[in-house]
Amino acid sequence: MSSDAFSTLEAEAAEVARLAAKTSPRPKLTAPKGPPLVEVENLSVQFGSKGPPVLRGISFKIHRGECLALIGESGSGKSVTARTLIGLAGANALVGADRLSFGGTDLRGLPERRWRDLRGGKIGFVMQDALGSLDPLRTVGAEIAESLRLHTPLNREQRAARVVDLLRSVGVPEPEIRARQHPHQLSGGMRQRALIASAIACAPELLIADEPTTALDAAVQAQVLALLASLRTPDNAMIIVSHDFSVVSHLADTVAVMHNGLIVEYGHIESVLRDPQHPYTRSLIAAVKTVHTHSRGKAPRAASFSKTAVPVVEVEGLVKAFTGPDGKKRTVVSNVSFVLRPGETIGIVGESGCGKTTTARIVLALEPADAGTVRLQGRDWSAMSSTERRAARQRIQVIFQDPLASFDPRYTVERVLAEAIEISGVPPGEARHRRAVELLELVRLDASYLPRRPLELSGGQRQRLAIARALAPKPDVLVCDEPISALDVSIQAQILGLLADLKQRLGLACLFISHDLGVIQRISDRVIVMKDGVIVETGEAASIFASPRHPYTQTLLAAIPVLEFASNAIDI
Amino acid sequence: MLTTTLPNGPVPPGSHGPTVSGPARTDESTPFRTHPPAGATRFTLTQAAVAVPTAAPAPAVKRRFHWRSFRPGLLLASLFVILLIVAATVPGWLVPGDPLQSNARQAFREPSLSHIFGTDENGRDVFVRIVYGARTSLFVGISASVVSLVMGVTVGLLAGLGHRYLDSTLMRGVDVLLAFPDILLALLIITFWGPGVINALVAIGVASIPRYARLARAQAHLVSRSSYVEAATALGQSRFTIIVRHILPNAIKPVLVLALIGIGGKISQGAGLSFLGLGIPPPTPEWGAMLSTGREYLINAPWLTIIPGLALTFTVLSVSTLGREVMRRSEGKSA
Repeated sequence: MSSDAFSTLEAEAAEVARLAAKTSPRPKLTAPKGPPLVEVENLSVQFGSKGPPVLRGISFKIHRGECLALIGESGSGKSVTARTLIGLAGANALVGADRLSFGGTDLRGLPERRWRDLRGGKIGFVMQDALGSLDPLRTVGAEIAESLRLHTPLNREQRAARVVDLLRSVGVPEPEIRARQHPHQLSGGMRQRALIASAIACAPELLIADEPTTALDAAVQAQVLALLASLRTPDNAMIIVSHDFSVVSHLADTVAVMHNGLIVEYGHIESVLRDPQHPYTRSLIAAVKTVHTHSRGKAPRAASFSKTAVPVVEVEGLVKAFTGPDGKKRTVVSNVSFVLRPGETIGIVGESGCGKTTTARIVLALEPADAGTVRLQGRDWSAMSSTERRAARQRIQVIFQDPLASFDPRYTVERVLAEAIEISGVPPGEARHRRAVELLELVRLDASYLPRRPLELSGGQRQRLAIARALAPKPDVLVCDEPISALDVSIQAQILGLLADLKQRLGLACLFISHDLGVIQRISDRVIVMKDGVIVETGEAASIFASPRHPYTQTLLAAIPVLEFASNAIDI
Repeated sequence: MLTTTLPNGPVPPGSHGPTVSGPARTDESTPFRTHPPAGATRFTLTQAAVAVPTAAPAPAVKRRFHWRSFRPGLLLASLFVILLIVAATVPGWLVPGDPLQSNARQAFREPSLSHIFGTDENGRDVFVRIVYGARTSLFVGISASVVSLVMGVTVGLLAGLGHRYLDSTLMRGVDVLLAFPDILLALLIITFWGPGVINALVAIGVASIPRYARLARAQAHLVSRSSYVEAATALGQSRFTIIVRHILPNAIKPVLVLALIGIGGKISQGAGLSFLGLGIPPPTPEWGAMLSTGREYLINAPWLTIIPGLALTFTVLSVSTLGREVMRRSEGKSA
């Protein structure tokens, strides 16, 4: 596929997203007519007869033309709720309810055959992981045709034609070609569109989207949300599951906030966002506001670094190319230069594949550059001997996107920290233990975590541990590669706050990489916008947000999720 | 499958939490409010019911024994392996007598109370010889596995972490070895070095290097690209320390499991070599050699082949069963 076609499409879609955000496509909610499409009363689900209930007393109603958002953090039971409606709560799930009906059909005790009629036919389900939900061995077209074959009397040719129509309707360019391609040949956003196309193939009365945009870049997320908004009609209903209020605030009419298997707040989106009652809802909304700040033109904070100081990192003319599977060289980073001063934070923003992670890896000397130099405190990485380089590595530390993968799975928290502390020359024994506890306290954990394994920690705790490890050798520079992208929005706010605080207290310089301009704005002094391996715009954070010059920056700015309705009165 | 309770059927015990709330609920601490915008009712749960998340550590999960997970095959296999280990270390505890003591008048006695597995052509007690033979069989099986594990992992790590020229050279060599069936390769080695216990186990061990080397190489590749290896590199650890601390222990685990399952196969290969007269020389009690001798008296004294054959079968089965159990437990758990 040509990248030009791609960027044109993106620009178009971003335009759509911007329009969608501004004009608010939500149809004015009229008083619901007729009986509700979905009725759930006192639903409870537990796994195994002895396990604790994962859902308790869940009740909600959805009328035709309505969109319900299920909001909550991982493990709150929102996905189980959605999956229960299509009878896929799980192999050993015990489902009990006073009422569980869809379009007048009682779903309790429904035989498997009847469920199959509903799934794909009357209820469409869009999964979160588009790559995992599409069969890698089948073409996208075959996948979409599957539900048509099961639920409609169309013959082969009619199905093929309908597949192309569907792909076109979800905004996939060149649908005839795409239908014959396999999932791995499509981009993430395209795959999500294909998945949505297969879910709406039989014009379902209810469309359930489980975290439909979580794995996507901010710009693509905006496109997919606009697509979902365009699919709403007065005759169908939609359930959208998310951990992020800003994702659903334009789409949903009603919202159910879930926490620990309970609906803690339920009501019209506007009233919930304007006047949240439950402290958990408030904390979620506050988290969204912290993460996706959208205050254009407001200076982030007084710069605490000197502009004349010797730079800690100087990057000059970096070039890196990889040889693709087809034998062709693909330039991932071309002519990237920047200077990071002590105590300064530079945010690098761009979509996946724009070369920001490769840049970070070269700065960390985890990857050699094809051309260009990286100087750490005035010394060129490539001019160092391997012993010197090992010693210099302590000055620059890294936090990865997936904290769990960055710990040896056999190690306990104590061993993870001990390894990092050992390198900074602390003698074994009591001193190391003290330093480990000190580091944990720095990231607001305590000594009780030492004997645990990273697997037993929550996502936020893992990322805190990763930060503690990175701080062990007392570095001057911290490289954060999408440190919060894999976390729930409420945890994102906490980790961002922690990073900002540590930066201030320890005087760290920071290279912060993210696909979300909102996150970048919150933490950076200067911003570098990258696209296709090239820096397209760079400048002070405040000026980039106040007056973005490059169209791509404008697209990214438009893609920052905006929380509608929320009043500024909420202070936590 | 979804288990759904019948209409008006019982809801699982405990599923009705104490904090279910609905439009009818009111609470003193939080005034219940509704803002019904066009039909949508609204309610809020009591504030005390659900705590705002804190960083409090979750209680440790206790493992409990469940009878549902009881599997008789596994139990039998474990008992048999324990028996084998006892027989291999202290055979005198299980049987009195000497496996080499022959008595021409007692030859070819059928299994009876005095000789439960009968006697062989020299009047030696078959049961005693089977028990004493366990040591040889287990020794050959385990030693051969160690030989192939050590050599295979070494080759695999060198190929996986070394320069790509070294990688291709080693892996092409491994491919050549892989082209031969295991037993043929072992025979080839014995042809060069001559028969004997040590030669036999080295031959068996070398024959299965390719499989371990390939797995070890793939694992080394995988682990060396993992982000915990990168994190250690970024901390400034030396390459050697990283290999010893992170790559080797994490890469070797699946290879170890494979080797454990392979012990059974290697026992039978060792017996196979002895059967062909290339392994353990008589009169040392060895199951393969016993099978080979018994073959001559198959019509008149079938127990001479059946008993060692069964011993071998059960040994291979139980060792492999245990190996697979270890594999099952190690899969899906990275800790």
